[in-house]
Amino acid sequence: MNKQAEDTSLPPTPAENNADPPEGGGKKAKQGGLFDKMTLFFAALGVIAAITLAMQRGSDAVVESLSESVFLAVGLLPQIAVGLFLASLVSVMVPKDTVGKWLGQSSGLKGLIGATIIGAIMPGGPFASFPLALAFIAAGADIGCMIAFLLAWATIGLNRLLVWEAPFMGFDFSMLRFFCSLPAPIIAGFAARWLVRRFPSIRPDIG
Amino acid sequence: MGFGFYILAAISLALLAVLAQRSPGKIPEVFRATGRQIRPLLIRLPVAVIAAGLLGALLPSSLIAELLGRDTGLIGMATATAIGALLPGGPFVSFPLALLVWQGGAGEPQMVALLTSWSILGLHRVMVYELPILGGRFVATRLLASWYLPPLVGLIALLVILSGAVGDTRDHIPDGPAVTEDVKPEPSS
Repeated sequence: MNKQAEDTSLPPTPAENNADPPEGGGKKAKQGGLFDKMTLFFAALGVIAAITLAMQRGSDAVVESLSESVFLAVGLLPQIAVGLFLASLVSVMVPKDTVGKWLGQSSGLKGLIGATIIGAIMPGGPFASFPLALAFIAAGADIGCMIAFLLAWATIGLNRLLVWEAPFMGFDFSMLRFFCSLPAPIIAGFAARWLVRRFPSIRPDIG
Repeated sequence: MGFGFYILAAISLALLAVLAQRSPGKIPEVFRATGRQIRPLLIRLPVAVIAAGLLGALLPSSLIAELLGRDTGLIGMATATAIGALLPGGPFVSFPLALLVWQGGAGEPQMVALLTSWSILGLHRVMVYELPILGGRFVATRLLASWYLPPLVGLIALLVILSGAVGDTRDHIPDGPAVTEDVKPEPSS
C-alpha cells in the first residue's frame, strides 16, 4: 500500500498489514525506514495544514489539534504493537503448505467458504496476500476461490480488524462492518466463477 | 484501550503459550518479526495521525455531514464508495482519515461503505500490488465480480441499524461530535 513497495521484490516473510517494507526490502528501508518518503510527504502535508489552520483560526487551533493527535497516536501504538505481535505469531505457527492444499483442492461452496476463512485469518500485508494468491492459482486453485480469498483478506481480515479498525473506529462499529461484510467474499467468488464461465476469454492466463 | 485490545492480548498470550510448549525455539523469531514491523511505524504513524488531524481541522464538517450523513441514503453510499476507492495508502493513512470523516458527521452505513470500498476497490493497492503481481485479466475479473459490493454491504448495515439490532457505535469516538440525538435502540440480546 505504500510507495516503498514498488521497489520491493516479493519478501520471504509476511509482515503486518499493508504498511511497511520488509527488512532490507527497498533502498529507502536501509535506515530502518524511520524517515521514508511517505513520512516526509505527510510531514510536509502536516506543516502546510498547520500553517493554513494558524492563518484561518489562529495558533490555538493548531495546538489543540496537535495535542488531540498526539493523544490518539500514543493510545494507538501499543494496540498496534500487540496486533503485530499476534500476526507474527500466526505466521510462524501456521504451515504454508497446509493452507495451499486447502485452497488448491477446493471447489464449490465449500471451497469458497474455506478460501474466505483462510483469507480472514491470514495475517500480512498486500505483499504477502497477492503473491500467495498467485502461487495458489499456479498450483491449480480456482479463480472464484482466489477472489474470495483476496476479498476476505481485504474486507473481513481479522488482522486489520483488530490492529487498525477496532482501535480507530471502535469495537462496535468494527463488528457491525465485519458481520455485514461476511457474505461479500462468497458473493464475489460466485460472481467471478460465473464471469469466467460466461466470458471464457477473460480467464486469467496464469498457471 | 478498547475491548479489541484485550481480546488481542489474550489471544496473543494463549498462542504464545502454545508455541512455547510446541517449539520454544521459534519464539525469538516472533519477537524479531514484530520489532522489524513496528519500527517503521514509530515515526510514520504519529506523523500520519497528526497530519490527518490538522487536515481534518481545516475540513468543514458540515460538508462531510452533507455528503455522507445518515440521511444521505444510497447517494451517500455511492459517494462513500468513490471516496473509499480513492483513499490513499495503507491503513496507517486511511484509518486516521476515516476517523476524521466519521467525526465530521458521516453516518454508520456510509462509513461501512467507505471502508469496504477502500478494502475492495482501493486503487492504490490495485496499481501497486495486484496489477503487477496477478495481471490485468485477473484484476478485471476481480473488479467486475466485486465493484457493487461496498454499497451493498453499506445497505446491509443500514438494514441492520434500522432493525435496531445494534446500539450506538459512536460513543467511543475520541473528541468526536456529540452523540446523535437519535433515540438509542436497546441492544436486543
